[in-house]
Amino acid sequence: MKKNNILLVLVVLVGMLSSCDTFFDDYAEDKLPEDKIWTDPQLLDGYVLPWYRGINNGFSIYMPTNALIRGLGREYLPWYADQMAVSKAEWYSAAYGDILKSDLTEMKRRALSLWNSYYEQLRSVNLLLQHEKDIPGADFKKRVLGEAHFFRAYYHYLLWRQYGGVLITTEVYDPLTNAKKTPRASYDEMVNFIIAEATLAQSYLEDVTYLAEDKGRITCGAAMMLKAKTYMWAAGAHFQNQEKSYLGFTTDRSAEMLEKARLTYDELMKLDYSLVPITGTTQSDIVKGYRAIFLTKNSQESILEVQHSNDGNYSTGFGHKLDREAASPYFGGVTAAYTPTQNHVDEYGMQKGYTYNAQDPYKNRDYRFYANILYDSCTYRGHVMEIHYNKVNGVEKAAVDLTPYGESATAAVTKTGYYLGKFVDEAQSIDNNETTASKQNYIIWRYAEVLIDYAEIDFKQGRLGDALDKVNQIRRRAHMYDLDAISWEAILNERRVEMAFEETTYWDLLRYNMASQKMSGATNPVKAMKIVKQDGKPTTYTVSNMDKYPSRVRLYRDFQYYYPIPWDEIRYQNIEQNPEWVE
Amino acid sequence: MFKNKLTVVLLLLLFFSELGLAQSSKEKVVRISIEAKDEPMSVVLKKIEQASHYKIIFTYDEIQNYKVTVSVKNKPINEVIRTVIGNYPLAYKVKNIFVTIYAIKPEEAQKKVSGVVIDNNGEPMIGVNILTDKAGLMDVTNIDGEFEINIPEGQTVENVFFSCIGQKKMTVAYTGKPLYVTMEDDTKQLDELVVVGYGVQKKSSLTSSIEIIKSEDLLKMPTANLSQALVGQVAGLSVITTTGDPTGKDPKMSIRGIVGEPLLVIDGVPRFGTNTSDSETRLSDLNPDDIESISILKDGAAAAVYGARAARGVILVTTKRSAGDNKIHINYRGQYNLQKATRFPEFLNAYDFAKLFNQALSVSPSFDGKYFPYTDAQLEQIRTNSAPNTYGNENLFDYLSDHGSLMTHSLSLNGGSKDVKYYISGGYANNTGLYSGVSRDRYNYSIKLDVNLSKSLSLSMDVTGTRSDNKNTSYSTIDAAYNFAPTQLLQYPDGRLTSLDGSNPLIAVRGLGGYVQNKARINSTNLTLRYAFPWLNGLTAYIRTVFDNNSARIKTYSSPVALYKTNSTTGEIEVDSKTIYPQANISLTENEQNLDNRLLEAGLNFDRIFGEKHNVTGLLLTNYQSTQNRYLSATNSSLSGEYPEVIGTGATGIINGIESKTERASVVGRATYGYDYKYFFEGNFRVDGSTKFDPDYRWQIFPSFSASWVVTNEPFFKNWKQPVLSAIKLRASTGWLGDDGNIDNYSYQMKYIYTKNYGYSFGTGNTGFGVIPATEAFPNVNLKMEQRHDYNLAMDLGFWDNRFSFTYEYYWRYRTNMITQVPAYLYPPSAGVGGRYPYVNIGEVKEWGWDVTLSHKNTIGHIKYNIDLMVSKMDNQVLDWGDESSLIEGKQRKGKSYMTWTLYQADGLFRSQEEIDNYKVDQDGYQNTTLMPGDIKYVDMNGDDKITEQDMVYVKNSSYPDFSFSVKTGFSYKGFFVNAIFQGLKGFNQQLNEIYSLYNSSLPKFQNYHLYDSWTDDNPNAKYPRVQFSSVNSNNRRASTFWIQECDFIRLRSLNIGYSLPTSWLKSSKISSVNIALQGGNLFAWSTLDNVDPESLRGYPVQRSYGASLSVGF
Repeated sequence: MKKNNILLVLVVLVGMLSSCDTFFDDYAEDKLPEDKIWTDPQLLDGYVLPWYRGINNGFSIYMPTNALIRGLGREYLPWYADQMAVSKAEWYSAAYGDILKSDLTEMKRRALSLWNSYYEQLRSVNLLLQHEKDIPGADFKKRVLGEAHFFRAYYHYLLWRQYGGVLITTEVYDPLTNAKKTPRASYDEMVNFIIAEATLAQSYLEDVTYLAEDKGRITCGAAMMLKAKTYMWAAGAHFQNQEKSYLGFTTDRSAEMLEKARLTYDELMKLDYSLVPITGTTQSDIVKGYRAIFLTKNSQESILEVQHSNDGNYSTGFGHKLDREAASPYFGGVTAAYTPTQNHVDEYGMQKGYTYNAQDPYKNRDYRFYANILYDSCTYRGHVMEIHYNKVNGVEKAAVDLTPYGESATAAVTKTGYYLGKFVDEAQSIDNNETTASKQNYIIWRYAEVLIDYAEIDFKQGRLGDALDKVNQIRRRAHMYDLDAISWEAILNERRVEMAFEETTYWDLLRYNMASQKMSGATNPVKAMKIVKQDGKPTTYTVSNMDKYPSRVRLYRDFQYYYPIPWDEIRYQNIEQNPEWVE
Repeated sequence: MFKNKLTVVLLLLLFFSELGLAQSSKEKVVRISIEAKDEPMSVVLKKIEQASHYKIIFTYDEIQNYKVTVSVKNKPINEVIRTVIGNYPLAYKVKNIFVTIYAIKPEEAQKKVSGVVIDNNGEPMIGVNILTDKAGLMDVTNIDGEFEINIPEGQTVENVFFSCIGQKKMTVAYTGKPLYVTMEDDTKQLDELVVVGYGVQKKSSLTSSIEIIKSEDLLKMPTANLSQALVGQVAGLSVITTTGDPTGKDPKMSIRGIVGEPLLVIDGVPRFGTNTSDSETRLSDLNPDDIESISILKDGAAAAVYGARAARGVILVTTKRSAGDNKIHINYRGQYNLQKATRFPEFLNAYDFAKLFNQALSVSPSFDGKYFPYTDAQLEQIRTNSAPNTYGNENLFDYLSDHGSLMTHSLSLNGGSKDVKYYISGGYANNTGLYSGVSRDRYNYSIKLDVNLSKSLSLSMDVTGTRSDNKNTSYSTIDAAYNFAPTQLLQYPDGRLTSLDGSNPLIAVRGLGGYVQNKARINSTNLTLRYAFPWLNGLTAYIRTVFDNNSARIKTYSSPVALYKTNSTTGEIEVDSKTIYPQANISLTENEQNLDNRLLEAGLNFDRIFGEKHNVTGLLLTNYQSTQNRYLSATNSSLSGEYPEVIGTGATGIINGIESKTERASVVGRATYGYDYKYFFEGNFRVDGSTKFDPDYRWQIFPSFSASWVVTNEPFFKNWKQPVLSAIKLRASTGWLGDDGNIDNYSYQMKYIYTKNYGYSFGTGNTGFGVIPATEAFPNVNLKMEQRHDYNLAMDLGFWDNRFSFTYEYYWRYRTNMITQVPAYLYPPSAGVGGRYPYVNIGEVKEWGWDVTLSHKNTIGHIKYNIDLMVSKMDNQVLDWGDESSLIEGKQRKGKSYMTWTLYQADGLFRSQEEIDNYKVDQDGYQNTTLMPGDIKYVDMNGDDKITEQDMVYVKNSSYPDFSFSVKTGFSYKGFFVNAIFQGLKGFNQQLNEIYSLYNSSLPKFQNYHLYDSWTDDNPNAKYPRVQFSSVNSNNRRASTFWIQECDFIRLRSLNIGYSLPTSWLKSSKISSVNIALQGGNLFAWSTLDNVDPESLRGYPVQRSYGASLSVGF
């Protein structure tokens, strides 16, 4: 009887054990195994998305001041140049502030994080290309391969622009099993590699057309633009006659690169890109039309954009907070993060037949001024902006758009005297609700840049008439009068106005070899406008330096042209570091 | 007949006279001296009555012929009576003050074994086991120390054995008379039973390093959290409390300096260790009153039976069960404590703050124009408080409650016979914090049954569980104190709360605006079936199944609270539209966590003594454990107005979920051999398989060996006549353990997930899901378990009859194949793993140290006292850290401590501009132009005249202190007792730069030392640098040796002063014991760190408590 009991229990126990199919499952039930990805179009579709997400955060900025996560900060590149400034004090103690001050530690940290994330995407691209033969569906395969080769080129381009000649990687490697070392590529090799990959992408994408829901994917045109931008960068003044081949060409090859850029642009211009026309003729209609260019996703002018999500969420989706971060306190803004500088306002010309009046500086300016800048007494969202002080009995009192929102001591107002008009969406609600985020795309390349780049090439190659024509195409769209003569300064200024606050204005400073001059407070202090109104007296307009110690706030040193390669990379590959960087 | 009447009369008389005598009975133990030479027994008994308060009842006829010769001094009544009745056929009983003496009939006496067992003090002893030879009859004494066994027809008894834990075993020859036995304390205490991994051993036969904490020591601590009660209890276990928040984390525990949580084993089932999930049972979930004992397994030999999870040491918790003594025991214990912060940081008032703010701003050029100084007019307004709607003089701590409270109630019922035993208990604990809405409620229950199904088959069934309910406001208020300046008005004079950028810390303090609630349930069922093989004496088998089903629901509810601001144009106070609907919304998140833990185990045990001298035991078992975790989280946001606080009522929602599973399988074995209680040998092994590793590297064996020599039991020692040395035992052990590390399950596989975070939105703007690698570290198929090889040498000494005892343990261990993320210099970033470096087996570390326990206990008259001193020391060194050849010497880890900080070497402060000008090293990268007097000076270690990362040095990270000590002491006099535990750390340093520097995203909060002890022109010898606003990379905020501050401390962890009611008082009632005590916790601390509490720093402070406890047994 008792023995039977024991037997019964043993039978039950054995039964319980054997009810597991195998002893150990060896399968992470809530994850996807790698080998399934290459043959499944749906998984592959998801696999390529991080490549897009990894190139740029667009307007989705992130400014942690907490010591531990500062390194993850994502800033808006034009803040480092001179067209706009941040008015939120706390953000100067974010990584952004330290980089602005040329803090080496923070730049090294940033350099490491960029290097990591770009190579992470390259690994992903290379891994897919190693499984090229598994990808199903001829058309689908073409698209995926086109995207893969584009991103292989593009991530190398991003690295090259930031670090000089880097390690060209075309395969996935695991240093635990493969002790391979890679040297730094020369400028020549970088250009050749990027062009070859982009050309491959171009050929895969040649006859790929996208349905509406796929608009925004890499196109043949984007691949051509990448090639052209590669040549443009390679033609940059800073990168000629360099001693080290990874810092630039050892001879001056700018003319050759420029010519190659021209040929690429010729090809690109045959495609269907054109400037978005502005039909209205009144100032307010022109302003509306011009602003609409940047609020329309994937327009006829667009070549490559960071695609923000429409689901209006910046927490789970890819929405952003541009509108609330740029807003004046009157609309509930507390960060005043995108405030245009007086330096930039000075770049806007006058409408035909008018001259500048310092006592009434905002009258009859280039139409793009009214579109891009919110200034004192302009109307936005039905509110007449009051970005001035009222002087009563000798005491200056800040008007509503200069009075911080709420009781918080950290709420910011503009320190430059202006708020942002470009990119922002008047219809966007401004609150703390993370599900009603802004959704406008961030433009990387648009057709206007093609024209202005081409004008630059024309000018340098001596075709002044062609250059003038291209500049005037851009001006005409903005309902500005045609220039009748062209100069280098005019091209530059036009570029600064048309491409205002776009990323390219930042990289231009490096490309033109003006970075250390333009991005240092000592040589180019950021200027602000202060307006004081008083009953019975004329309004005063005072331009001042924004910082009492500009040299301590903005500094760009020559060696910053090349970010430092992570030291662990240097050690492992046994390669040379960029000049002057020390660990 | 007549005799009986006489007895009744006498009894009545004595009863009345007793009324007047009651007071004299307060003395618990009465000692009697008596002399008599050949006197009649009745005379002698009268003498005893006169010499004491006892009333002796006897029948004169029965004793009239008996003569007595005695001479006793200071003996308890039992012993005196026993001497008096000697060999006459008499028996006696003591009940309160009544002693009854009666004759026994020879024919009756032969039929039963009966008697009374008392202790040294003459008090009856409950629960003593009685066993007869021959017939093998058994019984257990009752509350009066009595026992009675009927001898079946035809059986005989020669000797009777008495045994009880903590007492020397007694053997008494059976004469047919009642047996009066006095048990003697086993002062050596060596034969306690000790719970070890998968078994129980006698303390005398232990060969490895195990510390035991007993239930009564745990209950002296004024806490409901068992892990806090472990502080200072034994040498080698470090417990550091990091918060006083009742809903906060458990203290940081480590055994012998190994970083990481030890494995927690509750009643034989591994529950929580490294890399386990959120809903696992933790020490703080248990009811301290249910705990029988806790064993701390310190060395490899003790822990090896837990194999791959034991590398950080093991904590074995054993819960109470019923003794099965045919009695019902009911115990109640309750405590109530008021809790206060040990220490809050001291902040400045608004005016001092504003002045210091201006001072800081004036020397922080890069913040110029970004922060604005207070104008003179504003300063005056602040000083005179003349702008009550604009400036406040606030200190958030003023709004907190003065105290929190802790209350526990615990009730248990146990009893049964030797065939059916039951233990049922319930507990409730409530801990309320310093601000509204912070509290923890915990309910515990347990039902445990032990049933003998037949002579050889027994079943144990445990159903235990916990319900806990943590509630907190949605963010930590104590931390919020640092985010607001005292000048910032928190509420308008009319009580409306101000809008500080849409928030206000008083929302949390007052419990407005929502809560975070964590409701956890822990349910465990444990079934064990044991079988004793009838055909082989000493062999038993068991099967066990355990199911834990734990769940937690974390609910975060936030609802808008209307805040007010001053309209800058009109000057009116108006509601901030950002804080009310529609701009502010209700949101609700529920996170549901589930844990299914299953254990199946089957084992064989063998325990037998051969030929009286050879004790052999063996164990072989196999088990399979799987742990499944599920998380499901749902969020509803953007909800308006009135909303029931239940998920699912809203229209839009976001749902996330995770599931994972960990599997392990093991085989465990043990063999021990003891020879003549002198030599002990033990061998253990465990084979572990874990799904964390590639099948090729999955299985690993962990053996251990240990031995001990009890010198005291050697004949030569016994023959050595000396009073000093009373015990010597030497132990040695070695064992191999594994660590499967803090790595993912299936971490040898590359895994991917879909995520919106890396999704993208083409065309229509709908976000597609990205597919990204989901591993925390990229896979390495060659990864193996980390190895730990331990050695332990120990010596246990006893002096003067073991009144003093001394244990010294020296240990050292080698950790090899350490599971480490591959350093980037061996795995460059261009490999593209995005910082998720794979784990490799790099690293070899030696760790060593010693634990010393010095105890003294003694009894002088009515005074009993004991004092234990425990000291631990540890150290470690990296022996190898892979190929470090590409690193400069200063960055190599080999030869340095395993736990290090990388820091700049500071050289005090620059005290003058001249000192800066003369410093030839370019410290700031700007030729020192940004430096000012009062800044920290750094040492140029590599001599390149620059301060760069190359100048950083490794400094031993002593946030894991290398020297800890505690003193545990107890004192009792009659029923009064005092117990105290002091605990301290030395060599405990923490990095405090973030605490001092002023940087916060909100206004910084100056503490008083910023004003009084920071460098200024007038105070050039101050301790701290000048005040300024800084970012992470600012000179004074760099991680440097300047900010490594000593946080050594000594705390009076607990103090109990109480009184136990004498059992003689209680005997007539149903109550068996009453114990009342005043309790105090963390009453006193001395620390080398000024300004803040050395353990909780700026967080929720460690609590000081004052209270009382009451326990009653029935």
